[in-house]
Amino acid sequence: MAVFHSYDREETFCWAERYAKSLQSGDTVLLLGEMGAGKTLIAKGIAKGLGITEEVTSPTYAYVNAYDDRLFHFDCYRITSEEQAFRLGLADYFEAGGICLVEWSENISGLLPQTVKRIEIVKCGEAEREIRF
Amino acid sequence: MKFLAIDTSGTRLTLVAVNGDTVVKERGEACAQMHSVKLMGEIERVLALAHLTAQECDFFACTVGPGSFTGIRIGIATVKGLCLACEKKAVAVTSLDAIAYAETGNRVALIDALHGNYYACAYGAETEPPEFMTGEQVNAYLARGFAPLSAAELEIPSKCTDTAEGLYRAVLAKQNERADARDLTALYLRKSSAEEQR
Repeated sequence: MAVFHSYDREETFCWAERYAKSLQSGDTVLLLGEMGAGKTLIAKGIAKGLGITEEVTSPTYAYVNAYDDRLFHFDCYRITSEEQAFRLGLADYFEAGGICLVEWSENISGLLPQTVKRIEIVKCGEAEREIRF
Repeated sequence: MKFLAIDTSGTRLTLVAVNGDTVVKERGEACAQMHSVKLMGEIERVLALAHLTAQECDFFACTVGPGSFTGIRIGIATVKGLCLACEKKAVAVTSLDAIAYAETGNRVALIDALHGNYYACAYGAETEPPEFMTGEQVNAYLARGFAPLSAAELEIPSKCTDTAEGLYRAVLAKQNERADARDLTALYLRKSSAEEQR
């Protein structure tokens, strides 16, 4: 596991943009961290690194946003059970040959692929973050 | 007998078109959730290979699960549409039937349900209803001499069967279980939320 220490939002974003280059189709990345840690900011950076030009917004209400049919950004905060997640079709995205970024993945652990990558964001201050990946 | 059968519940789109003695069985490559894009073109293609039109079919068949939520619903919706348009009935089989009917004997058909779990169904001397099973429950069947069969490689060593053949034989076996297409019901086999919380 590696660690990147970021001192502000821009550094976090740029780190995510670089991190995106290590991803391949079929990868699932769990974005772990408390509310406000920067999970969606990192998703935006990864999208930029993958060449996605469409604006990335929070998927809290849609559950999942799809970009170019190759990047799928989940927010499972509002998911109440794996059965609900399955019946929303969320499990199928992991088989779609794209890259999946999952916020609040704890709520769908039984539907996640066997092998996943993890980015854990720890708040060390207002904008300072320790990113473990 | 004439029919069209489709399986969109797994990663490989499978179609069977039967026109009397002419039987076309096609099992595609893994198509990464592109069933909805490919399906109608593939249906046209296999019907043409069997020199069959949709109107000439006696009935239509599909797998109703378990497997991909979206895939299952694409198959059911397509067969419902064909049945309504052609005023014919539907035959439902499971994706586990498509695995198992390719072989004989005491066997247990398995589909990966992730994290050591399986969608499973035992066939042979005892044919049981399909179930969501843990690896341990599956191993209990193997210990009783049920041969493990699957459509793809699993953590549990199993024999990969020809699911196009299995789909064909399963539909033949159930051809008299025709029902109104409106009654086609998806079989997801997931744990209920109450069971999840236990």
